[in-house]
Amino acid sequence: MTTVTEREQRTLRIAGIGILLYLTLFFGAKLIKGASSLRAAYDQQVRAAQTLRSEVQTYEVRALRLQRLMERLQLEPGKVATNSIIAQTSAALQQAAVAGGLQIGSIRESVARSSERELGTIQLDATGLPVSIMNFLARLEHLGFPVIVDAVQLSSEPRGPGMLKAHFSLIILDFEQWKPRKAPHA
Amino acid sequence: MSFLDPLKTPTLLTELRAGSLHLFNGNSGEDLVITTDAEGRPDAASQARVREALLRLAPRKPWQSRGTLWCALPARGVSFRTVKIPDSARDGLRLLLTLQIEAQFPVPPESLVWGWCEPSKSSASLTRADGLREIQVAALKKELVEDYAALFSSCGFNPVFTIAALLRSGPNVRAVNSSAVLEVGARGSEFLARQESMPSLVRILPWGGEQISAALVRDFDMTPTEAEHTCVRLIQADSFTTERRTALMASVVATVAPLVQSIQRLWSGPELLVVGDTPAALLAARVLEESLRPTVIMQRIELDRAPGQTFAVRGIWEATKDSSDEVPLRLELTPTASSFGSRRTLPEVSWKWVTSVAGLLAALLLFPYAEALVGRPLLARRLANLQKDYDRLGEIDRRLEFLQYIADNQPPYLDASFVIANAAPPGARIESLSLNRRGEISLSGFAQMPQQIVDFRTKLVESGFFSQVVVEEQSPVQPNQPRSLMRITAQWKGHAERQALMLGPTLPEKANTNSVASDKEAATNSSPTESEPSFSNPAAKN
Repeated sequence: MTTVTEREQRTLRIAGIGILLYLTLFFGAKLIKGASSLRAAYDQQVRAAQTLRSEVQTYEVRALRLQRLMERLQLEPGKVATNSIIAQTSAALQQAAVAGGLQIGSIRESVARSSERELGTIQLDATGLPVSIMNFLARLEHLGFPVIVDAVQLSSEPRGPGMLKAHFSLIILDFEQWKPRKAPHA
Repeated sequence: MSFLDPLKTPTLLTELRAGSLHLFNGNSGEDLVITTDAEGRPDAASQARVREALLRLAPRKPWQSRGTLWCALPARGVSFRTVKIPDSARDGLRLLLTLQIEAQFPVPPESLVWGWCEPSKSSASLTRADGLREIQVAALKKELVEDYAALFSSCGFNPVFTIAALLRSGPNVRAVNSSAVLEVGARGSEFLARQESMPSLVRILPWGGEQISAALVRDFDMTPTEAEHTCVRLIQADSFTTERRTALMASVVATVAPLVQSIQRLWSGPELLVVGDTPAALLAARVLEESLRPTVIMQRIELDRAPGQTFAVRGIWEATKDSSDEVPLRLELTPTASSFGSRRTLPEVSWKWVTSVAGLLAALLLFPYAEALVGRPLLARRLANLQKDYDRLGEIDRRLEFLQYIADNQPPYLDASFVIANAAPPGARIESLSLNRRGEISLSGFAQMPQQIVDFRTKLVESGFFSQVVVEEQSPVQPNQPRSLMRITAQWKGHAERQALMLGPTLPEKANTNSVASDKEAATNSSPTESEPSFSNPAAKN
């Protein structure tokens, strides 16, 4: 068996240390590079989370405003069914008019073009005292349906003293036409 | 074996004797012959042997710091002094001792290697009645050790010196208050006396075990080898005839007699420990036992001592094992440029602290990466939850915009009717009123006088509700009559401008309504609200 001299042992030792150093530097650099990229990705994720959180926090005010508007208008847009809203609105209008002491005349409904934000219009003729008409106008805002009064025409009613003849033109809005806003991070 | 073992510095235990150096590393040892030059310094050959032995017994790796070499010195040149210092002087003890040494020794402290020891805590003499503390100081001239200190230092060791005589007695003797230790060597003996557990006297006696062999050679015409064999056989019980043994022992007793006399002059305590590793030492111990009665003679004789493991070396080993430091006295050698050259002793590195600091630094560097590795899945989960919430926020926006659109586009028909009713002149008749979402108002009717139409228009303008009011037609109903026909168009202002107006009836103040009738009137007037305003019926006014 060949014996290794002390000089050769020293050479082998130095070579081993050199190889070990090279491997340490080579793989160490790769490891550090990978760890740095991992850390950078993590930092980016943290920043994205902080931005998102701050944006979500701003919506607390908006949610409060929405709650107040829903209470004021007594209207919850999510519960409005598009296919039957005109019928429901018409029924609610007639019920409110009769409850307010108005005599209902002719009612005309029409469906609007789908490209617009309006779902349709209702034209209503009624007769009654000025107080009843004003009360009816006030109640239209809290009817529970997305209704905007487009025009009102009042004229004297010759059939009785103090009576007015009123013509209401109402627009029913289509909630489906309000497209949801795209989130920037989605 | 701990993983820190490769980092530990080597430790070597040695005893320096006259003519020999004994080394032990905890596992193996060597006994080296030391030859000196005319000045008593170790010669070059001895120094080379010491270096080689140190490399063999305690090789130091390149990453290891300097090792510790404990060296037990012979008693030659060692002096003991008892010094008294105030018991309160704890902090400045070294300075006080230096002053005391300067006063009690003929050589200045700078030229001495010195150390001190105190009685054990259990000893009653730790503090005297006068408040002074007794401390035993040992010192010897620096030149006696500085050559060896430089030699050990050049081999990569920090030398720590102590006195061998203090370490030879085992634990049994050290507990006794007053005792003595006699180490019987080949050419000389070392005697150490203790008073109250403190070393009080150390002497080198000019008597060695070789004198017994020399006496046997002289008295019985033996060769030196035969004399040594005779010593070995004498310690065995039945190796000689009675007459022969009596004759031989008589020669031995006569040879040991000077040693007995020396001990009797120096000391008269109750116990004496005889230490040695030769048959002559054992014979001397037996003679001393007979001669020094009633003093109790204890023996610590090992004839087959392992290389390097002298009693002093084993004493250091016992005192320093398990990282403890119970060496009774350690001599401090202040390094100087002349004695050590340019090489300075380095403090030992505490690898435990180095490892802790390195671990903390590594943790500091790796923590951001570990946080990223561990926290990324958690963060991704939280981000997904936030994203889900954010997607729902779009629906909030949608509903808010829808309801806001409805609220903003509700025309102020009631406000407009209220303003017109308040502005209408008395006796006027409004035949028709038309309002639409864009704010266009058209009304037609009659007024009793033309001036009333002008006033009506003025009031409408001054109400601030309308941006423009146009009287499109004003004409008498019949010629030569004041009653006039009127047709007026108007346009209400924008939402922001209308918001600033105070519309609706004002409530009367309570301080002005102190009667029941006026209260009722006020209640009647104040019944309309903003949501349900009173509408003055133009037809009713007519």
